[in-house]
Parts: sequence; structure tokens; C-alpha cells
Amino acid sequence: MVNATYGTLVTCDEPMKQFLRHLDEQHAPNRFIICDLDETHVLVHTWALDLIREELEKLYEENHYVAIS
Amino acid sequence: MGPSNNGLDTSRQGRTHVAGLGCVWMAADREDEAVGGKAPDQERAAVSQRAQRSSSTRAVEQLRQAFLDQNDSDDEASSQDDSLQEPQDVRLQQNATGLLKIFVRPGAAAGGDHGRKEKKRRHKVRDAVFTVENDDEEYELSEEDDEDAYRSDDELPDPEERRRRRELSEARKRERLAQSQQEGDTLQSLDRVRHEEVHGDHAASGDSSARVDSKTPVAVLDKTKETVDKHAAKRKRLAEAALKTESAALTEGVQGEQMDSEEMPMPSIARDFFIPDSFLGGDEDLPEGMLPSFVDSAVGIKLKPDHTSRPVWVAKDGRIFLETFSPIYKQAYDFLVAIAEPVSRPELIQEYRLTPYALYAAVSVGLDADTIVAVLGRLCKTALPPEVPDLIKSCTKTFGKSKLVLHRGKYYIQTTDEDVLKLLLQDAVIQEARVQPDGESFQLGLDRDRNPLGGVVLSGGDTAVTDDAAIDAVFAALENEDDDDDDYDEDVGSGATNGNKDESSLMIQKSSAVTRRTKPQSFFSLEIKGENVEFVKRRCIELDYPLMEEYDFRNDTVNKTLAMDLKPIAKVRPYQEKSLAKMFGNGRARSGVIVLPCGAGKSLVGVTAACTIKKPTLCLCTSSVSVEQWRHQFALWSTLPKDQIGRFTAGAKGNMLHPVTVTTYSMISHSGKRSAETTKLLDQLKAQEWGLILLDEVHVVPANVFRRVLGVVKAHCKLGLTATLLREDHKIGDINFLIGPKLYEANWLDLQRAGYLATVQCAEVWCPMTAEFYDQYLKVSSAKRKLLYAMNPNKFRMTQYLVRFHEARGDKIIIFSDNIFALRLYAERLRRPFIYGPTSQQERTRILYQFQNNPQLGTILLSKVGDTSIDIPEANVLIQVSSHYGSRRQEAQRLGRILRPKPRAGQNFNAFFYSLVSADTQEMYYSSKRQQFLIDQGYAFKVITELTGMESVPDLAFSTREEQLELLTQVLNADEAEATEKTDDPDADELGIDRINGGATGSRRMAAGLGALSGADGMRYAEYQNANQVLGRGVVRHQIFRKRFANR
Repeated sequence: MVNATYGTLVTCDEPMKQFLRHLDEQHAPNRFIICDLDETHVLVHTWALDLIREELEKLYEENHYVAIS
Repeated sequence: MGPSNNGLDTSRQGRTHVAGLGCVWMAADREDEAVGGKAPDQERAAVSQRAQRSSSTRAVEQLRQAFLDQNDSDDEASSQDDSLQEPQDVRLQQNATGLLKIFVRPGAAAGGDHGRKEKKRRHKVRDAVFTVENDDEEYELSEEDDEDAYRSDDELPDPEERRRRRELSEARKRERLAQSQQEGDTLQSLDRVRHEEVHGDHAASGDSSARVDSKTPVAVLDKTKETVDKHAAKRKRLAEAALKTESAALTEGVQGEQMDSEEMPMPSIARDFFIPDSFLGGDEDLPEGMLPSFVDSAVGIKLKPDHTSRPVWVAKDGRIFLETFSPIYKQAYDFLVAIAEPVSRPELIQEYRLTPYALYAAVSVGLDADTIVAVLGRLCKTALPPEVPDLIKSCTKTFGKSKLVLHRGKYYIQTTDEDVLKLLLQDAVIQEARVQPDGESFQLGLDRDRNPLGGVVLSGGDTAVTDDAAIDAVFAALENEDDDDDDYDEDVGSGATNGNKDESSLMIQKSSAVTRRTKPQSFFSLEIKGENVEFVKRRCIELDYPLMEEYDFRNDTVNKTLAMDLKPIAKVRPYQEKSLAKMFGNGRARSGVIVLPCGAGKSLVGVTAACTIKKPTLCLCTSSVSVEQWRHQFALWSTLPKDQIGRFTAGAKGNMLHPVTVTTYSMISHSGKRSAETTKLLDQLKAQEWGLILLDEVHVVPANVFRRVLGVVKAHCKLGLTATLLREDHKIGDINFLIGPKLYEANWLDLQRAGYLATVQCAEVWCPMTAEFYDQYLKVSSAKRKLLYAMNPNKFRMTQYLVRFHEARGDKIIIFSDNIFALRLYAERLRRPFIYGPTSQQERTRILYQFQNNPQLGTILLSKVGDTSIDIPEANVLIQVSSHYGSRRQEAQRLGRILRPKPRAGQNFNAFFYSLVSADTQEMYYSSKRQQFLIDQGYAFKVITELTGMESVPDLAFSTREEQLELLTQVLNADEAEATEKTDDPDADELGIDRINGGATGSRRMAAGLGALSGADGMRYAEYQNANQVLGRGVVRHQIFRKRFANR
């Protein structure tokens, strides 16, 4: 039987896809990755977009140094 | 995650949702409170009640929003035919409808969360209230502009700018909230939230209400809260960051609460000035994230009519901005560097800051308050803000009243003013440090006019020469400028400058008529214990009577004068001369620190200073290698015969101390067991009075291990030399009372322009992680992470590419890697020699010789042993593979390896500094932190995200997935302890890294391989060159052997 579901296609670079997978792993069993398409594409549930954004922002902030001026 | 995410996200498309929802939430909230059957124990009920409410109102809101969005997208579609926005909007609609669906569905799996931690949840709820209120306010007040601000905010490409704007709008929001919010309940609840955030008081409070008619799945609610909570946390983070920034900006050396050691001493006057009340006390009123900016202090200032010819701005918080393109930049720079601390010195506009220490230094080089104010007033584009002269006067008025004098091995505080002495005597710290006088002639501890100090007494008065030269230069330059202006002004028809000119000539008279220190009629002195000198100095600064240290070496008849001079071949460069002029400004030697970039000839400055003083000199450096180098420098530049220049290290010590002795910090500070000879020499060293103590790499001195050195060695004058006067801990200010003020700091860019330093192109190269490495990176512990980002295969490929490129050009390349594992592997793969801690001296010499002389060998690899002590003038390309966390100094020191001017001219840049960074890892953070110092010195880092032409290069390593995976297994199996090299790095302790005690030749602890475990590379198989060496090390201990070796 055909099972249709909608999602959002995320295009990213290779490390970022690893990050998404890692995130997905962390949020088990609330996984959001629908399908891991190839090295730079992944289909995720739309509801997770903001979560992803937020986590990316967090990652970015972790790795970003703000000079004290 | 829960559907509600969409609603409260502050990012991109969701913005309108936020505002709208916030309003509804707010309404719901207030209603709750109004209806208000407040039962603290019914938290859970209340929570789900709210959830229900919110979800229903939200649903309505979502629909409305979807509708609005529809309109929006319609509008946009009509304006732009092929709009890129459209898919997004469509998705939004989908979201909205999708949300509704999910709402109806029972909560998926996270339902279990519900009953878990009541406490935590309550906290969350409050945060939620907090956040929501903010949003609400924003909505009510300015739907339009804030929204726009946020939109553009997010589109800003520059992350730094983004952050700033976020903070600003945060602050704005809060301000508005405070202003407009008259309704008590909101404010109260806000306060409560804050209060509880601070005190962690999770006691239930009354923001819950009674009735529950919920059928909404709890999971949804939980997620809602989680999201909200996240935002609150984020806000809090930002606010904290802002506050931290602020505190750091404001206090300049005063330590905040996160710093471990004691507070920096600060004169009371200055303390009031530099730390605003809001920082000391309740900061409730100060909107967080509001930084006192340059713009703020510019309000209400009027420019002088001839401001274009004046190069300086002075802000009322003591910051000074200097235009480097001004024709009188050079003079202004010399003046500013004498009175203020350089903060940042990029190409066009430099920032300085008036600090008490800088002002002390200024006074000690002979400037007085009136002169400083007058000159600053002349240079400033505007009238000086009234606070600035006040500060300068208050900081300088008590300086110079008391002195610290060393006489016959004893320290005395000396003053001409009885009141000062009384004040000092009453202080507990000084009381404690005081040597109690035993003679009956002492009354009240006053040793009145007995003048116990013989020839060392500073005779004061007539010989004092002020820094008039610099002042005169400024005035002369300004005069010229004024002349030009006069022409200009005549054209325009304004006579404003004439007045100024009169004023300026007046000032010149004034400055040359500056009252010199008057000849003291009588001295009061009290003796203090040598080991307490540090504390006394610190205390005196707090008492506003900083101790001056000057050494009148010409009149010192007690210590023998050495026949040492500079050889005629020694050419002292202008900037070196300038720095020495600061030191010997009035015919005496001042204690202090001279800061010169790496490769700018610090040792010549040290040798020249020693040659000027001509008294016994003790030179301290960080390693035995630099001991050799200093000894060599002394022999090279001074006329002192080489046998007069002694070494005092574990490996090489004579029977006696020489007039000039070179040793290491650890040699003197080591507290463990010693050989007999060493103890004897050390006693001798302690007993002797030294004319000058030279402290190489002076930034290591505040480290706890080395502080003792200064208590142990008695020296009249201390000169610290360093390239990088900074530490990652907050002890750098301690230098001020351990050594003395900063006498001179050279400008890197100026030296580069003058050709004394190589022109360096700095680049940060981003190497993307490979998928597998990043996958592992996310999973493992932080120690392993370090290894993973250092071993990133793409990094290796990048290195390989760069090495090939530069070797083809005939460049000499150094590759730095802190990580030994990486170092080995890189060396293996690149087939180039490497040097690290365990490499023997012979081998090092051989490799370095080959590197310098053999054109076939273009590359060597160094671990961090190469950071400072190895001098390789030929190298002009530096590739940094892995580094010591965020150490700014290491970066600067490494850059220093290639800073020596290069013969190859004709290109814009003749040296290259590549810092390879694995993208999306911690390394990015450290990398940007490390660069800060160099950026403040005016260097610019070019970020390279991709090296063009790398694909076309064949046979780069790790190009296949198999190879990469193989490397990964290697990395994962590697012991992370093995990867980090432990050296006796004198400043390792500042970053909290364990340091091995035991000086330069102490044994080294490495993780053992099989060979080591079986004893195969233990000491007993090592070969020794001669018996003395063995005995000296104390390896052979038995009596019989000792005798036997001694008889040989």
C-alpha cells in the first residue's frame, strides 16, 4: 500500500547531515528524519524545522567566539 | 518536537505568529490571575489548564494567521512575479493546518514527561510567563518596526552585527517594558520571575489558577513549555553575555565574580571612576545589554573649529581614539602610548584607554597632570570632557610621594612626607610586613633623617629630566598644524585659532616650567621584609600611594661597576632607543616592562639596558635553550668577555656566580630537592644584590610558581621583556606591582611599515569535516573531539596542498601541531622531519641546520616546543594544524617565528600564516579567540573557505573513503593522553593544565608504549657523554661510583 507523507527537504553539507542524524538520534523516539536521501539531502518532518534551526543556532553559538570589546 | 514551536520561534517566518500569540497568551495569563483561585499545590492542574487555553486560542490564532499569511503571499505574489518567498508561505500555511491536525491527535510519546519533575516544570512555566510578556509588550507597542527589525536582523550576514542588534533590541524591549508597564501585576510577576531566576527559589507561587477543563494532550503542552523555556534560556544567555561584556569593558582589569584570584588593587579614586554604580550595586535599572558606547559619550560635545587637524577623540569614560592618518600621528602616538593603555591598534583608528597604571607610568616617566591634560586638550577634537582631567589629576596627585628603595639587601619604604608615613604605618598589611626596629632610637617607627641609605638615596631634584622631548614634539607639530590652519582660517575669515595659538605657547611655557620634584630635606623610612614586598606594593596602590622604584645606578658605590659597553657593531633601532629612553629618562633606571613584538630585537634592548647600568645582572628566561641564546646575545653585543657571562642551569653551572648570570625561572623557584652545588650557588644568589634583573617573557611571572623568584632575588631594578603581555587568566595586572608599569609598547604595524618586521598575510582556512569524522565528533568526549578535529582528513589534504604550493615557490615552511599524534602522522605522510619534546638536542640541531641550509628540505614540523625557543629566521610560511585551545599568546608567539624581516622583497606579503580550522567544531571558537590579540595589533585574518585548484591536484592523501575510514579507526584507537604533549611549559598552569615540576631537565611523563613498559627506553639504557653530567643530574647516587667518577 502506498503511504504518503509530506515533509521538508533539507539540503546541507555532509557534516551538517551528520549533525541532523545525531539530533534525530537524540530525540528518539520522537524522530523527525523521514528519509535519509543521500549525502547532502534529507527529508524531515516539517514540524521539526524550528527545532533544527534552534539546535543549529546553538551549535553555531557554541563554536562562535564573541570578542569582549 | 511539538507543533507549538512554530508559534513561539523568534526566527524567520514565524515572527508574526509570535507577536500575535504573545498577545493571546498574555490575555489568557491575566485572566488566570484575575479569576485567580490560586492554589500553589495545583500546579499541574493549572498547567494543563493553561495548555488547553493556549492551544485553543492558538488554534484560532493560527487560523487567523494562516489567513493573514495568505494575504501576504498574495500581495507579494502580485508584486513579484517569480517570488522566492512563495514556497515558504505555502509551507507556512501547511504548517498552520498541520498544526491543527496534530493538536487533535493525542500526544505522541513524550507524554510520560508530564509527571516527571514538578519543580523543573514550575520553573519553566515562570520562564514562559516572562518570555511571553515580553513578546506581548512588543506587540502592543510596535508591531511594525520591531518586526522589521527582526526580519532584517535575521538577514544580516554578519553574525557579530546580528548579535549586537539582537542585544540592542532586547535592551530596547526591556526599557519599553519598564516605561510603559504601569499595570502592577505584570511588573510584579516579572520581578518575581527574575527574582526566582536569580535565587533559584522554586517555591510555588501564585501564578496558577483553578479550573481545569482540559482534554488537550499534555505532550503538546510540555513541548510548548519546552520551547518557551528554550527561548527564555536563550534570552538569559544573551543577557548574561551582554552583562559579562559590559563588565569586562567597564572594569578593565578589575576582576569579576568568575575570576578566581584576589581582586586587582585599584586606587580608590579610580575605582569610583571606572566602575559605575550600576555595576557595583543593584543593576536593576540598567537595561541589560546596554553598553556605554562611543556614541553615548559623544552626546552634547562640540567640535573645535579646526578639528580636522587634531587627531584625537577623548570619551568621558577615559577611552581615547586616535586617527592614524593624521599628519601628527607619530607625535600623538608617542604621547598617548605614554599616558594610556593601547586597547586595539588597527590600521586607521586606534583605541586607547586611560588607566591608573598607565597614568602612574606616565608620572614616573616625568609627565605631570597639568601637562597631560594640556596636551590631551590640544590633541582632542573637542573640548575635553570634564571627567577626564579630574581622573588624570586624581590618579597622579599622590604618585611619587613614596619610594621603595633597596639598600644593603634590605627593602625600605621611603617618603618625605610625615603624613604619608603615618598613613602607611597604620595600615595592617604594611605593619605586618615591617621589620620591627630593635634600636631604642626608633620612636613611632620613624627613622627620622638618619639617612641609612648611603649612596643609594635618590638625591632627587635637579637631575630629574621630564619627558619634555615628547611633549615638545607634540607642541611643535601642533604649532605647524596651527600655522596651516591659520592660512586656512584667514581664507575662511575666522580668528578662532589665534586664541588657540596663544594658549598653546602659554602651555609650552607652562610645561617647560613644570615644577620638578623638589629636593627632599629629610627622609622617613621603614624597613620591610623582602618576601612581603609584593603585598606592600599592592597595598600601597590601594592606599593611593603607589611606590616608585628607581635606581640611581650612577651614584651606587656599594655594588661594583662592571666594565661593559655595547660593541660598536650593535645598532640600536629607533624604537629600541625610545623604549630605553623611557627606562632611563631621568638618569636613573626605572623598573618596568617593555613590550616589543617577537623578532623585533628584545634581547638587544635587554643587553643595552645592562650595559647602561653596568652592575651585576641576573637574566631570567623560560628554558635552557633560551639561556644559551641570551648568553650568546650578551657575548655578541657587549664588550664583556664571555667568561664573565655565566649560566646557572641544571646542566651547566659553575662554581661561582658571574657578574652576568643567565638562568631559568624554574631553577630559582624550584622548591624540591637540590644538589649541593646548586644550593650553595642559590644561597649566594640570594645573598647578593643585583643591579638589574632582566625578566625574559615576563608574562610568565605572575604564575604562582614563579612569583617567588622576585621575593628571593634582591635587585635594584627590574626590567621585564615580552612580546605578548597577556595571559588567559586574569593575573596580567599583577605585573604592575610585581615588576612595574609598562614603560613602552611598540606598535606592530608601524614596525612592519618601517621594515623591521616581515609583512604577514594571515589566513584562517576552514576545512570541512568529513561525514564520518563529524559523526564521531558528535558522539565522543571532549578530549577525543580535540583529536578528531585535529586529524580531520580534509585538514591534512589542505596542508599537503599548501606545502606543495609553497615548496614550489621555494618558501621555507614550518608546520605547527600541538597534537603529537597529528604531528607524527603528518610527518610520516609528508615525509618531512619533525621536532617535539623528546627529540634530542643533537637531532634538533641537525634538523634545523638542514632546514636552514638545504634547499631540498623546505618543510619541518614542530610541536609546541618550537613556539618560543627556536629561532628560525629563514622560515616564511607557517601552517598551524592544531593548537593550545584559545591561547592568544601562542598564536602571537607562533606568528613571531616568521616575523623576522625577509630578504625576499618585491611582493606585497613576504610571509604567510595559515591557521587550519575544522569547520563546525569547537576549533572555530578557539581559533577566533586566539586571533584576538593579533587583531588588536592590527592584523587582519583572511578567511579562506575553499582553496581553488585543490581538486586538480592529483594524489593528495586521504582522497578515498577507505583511507579516511582507516584514519578514523587509527584516531579512535589512539590514546588521547598520548596526543597531548606535556612539556614543562612555564605558563601551562595558567590554563589549568597540570605542570610537571622539576625544571628544565626534569623527567617527562608520557603515556607508555610497549617498549617503555618493558623498560626498553628507560633511563638506564641511555648513554651519557661524560661523568660530570651524570653526577650533576644525580642519576648515579652510590658513594662508590661518585668517588670513582670524581677521581677521573
